[in-house]
Amino acid sequence: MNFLEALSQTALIRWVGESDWGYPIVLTSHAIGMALVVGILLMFDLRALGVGSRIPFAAFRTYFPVAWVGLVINVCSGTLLFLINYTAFLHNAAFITKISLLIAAALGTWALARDIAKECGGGISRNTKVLAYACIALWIGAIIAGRIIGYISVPE
Amino acid sequence: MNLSSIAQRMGQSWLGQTARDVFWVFPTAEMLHFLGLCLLMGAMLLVDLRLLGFARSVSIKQTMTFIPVAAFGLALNLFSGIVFLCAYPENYWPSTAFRFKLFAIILGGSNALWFKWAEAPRIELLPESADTDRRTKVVAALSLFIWVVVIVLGRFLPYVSKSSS
Repeated sequence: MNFLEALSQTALIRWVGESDWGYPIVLTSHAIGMALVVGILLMFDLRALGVGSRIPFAAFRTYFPVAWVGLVINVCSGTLLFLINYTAFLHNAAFITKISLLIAAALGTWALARDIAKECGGGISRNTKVLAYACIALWIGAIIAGRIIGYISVPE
Repeated sequence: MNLSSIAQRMGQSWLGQTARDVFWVFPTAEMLHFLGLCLLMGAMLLVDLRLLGFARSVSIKQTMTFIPVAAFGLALNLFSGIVFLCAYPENYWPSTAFRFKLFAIILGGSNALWFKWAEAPRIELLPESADTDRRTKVVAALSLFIWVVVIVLGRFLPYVSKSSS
C-alpha cells in the first residue's frame, strides 16, 4: 500500500485530482478509449453472430490495432483515475466488479478470436456464438458496473 | 416559445418527474448512453476507416451492413439524452458545452444523411475493392472527427458549467 500511496502523491496524480482541467481531460480520454476498445470488440462479437456475415474475419486484423490503442489509452487513464483515490476504489464493490468483468471480457474475446481462427472457412459453431453473446454481456456488465462506481458512497 | 420555456416544460414533464423520483432511471439512462456511444463509434470506425482506405480487402458495401448498428446506437443516445434533459434541464440548456454538443450532433447527423444520399449511391457504382475518391474520404473523416468531438463535449459538460457558474 505504501507504493500506491507514494504514486498517489506524485505531481501527475495531484494535477489530475486537483487542477480544473486534469480530471475532465483524463475522464474524456477514458470515454474515447472505451469507444475504441469496446466499440471495435462489440462489432467483432456481432460479426461472430452473423452481422455483416460476408466480411472476412481476417479484416478485423486491420481493426484490432484500433482496439489496442483504445486499451492502452484506458489502462493509462484508468490507472490515473484509480490513483487519485485508490483506497476508496479498493473498497468500492462496483469497481472490483468492473475490473473482474473487464478481465473476463478480455479473456472471452481472446478465446473467441482463437475459436474463430480454428473454425475458419466453415460456419460459426453454436458454442462460439454462445461465447460471443457472453462477451457482449460482459462488456455491458462492465459499463453498468463502471457507472455504479460513482453512485456508491466512497469512504475517504 | 423560447428556449427557457421549452426547458421548463421538459422539467415538468412526466419523463422529467419520473427520472428525478425513481432512483434507477437516471443511472440506467447513463448506462444506455455509454453503450450507445460504443455501438455508434464501433460501427462508424468499421465503415469510416474502410472508406478512408484501411482494410482494402473488405467490400465497402459489406462494412455498410454495420450502419444500422450505428443508427441503433445513435437512437439509444438520443433517447437516454432526452431523459437527462428532462430530469435536469437547468444543468444543460444554459451550458455552453451542451449547446456546442447539440450543434455537433446536428452536424454529425447531417454529415450521415449527406453520406446516405450523396456518397452511398456513388459507392454503389464502384468495383468491390476500389478506393473511394477524396470527396467520400472527407465525409468519412468528418464523421469520425465529429463523433469524437461529441464525446469530448459530453464529458466536459458537467465540469465546464460548474466552473462558469
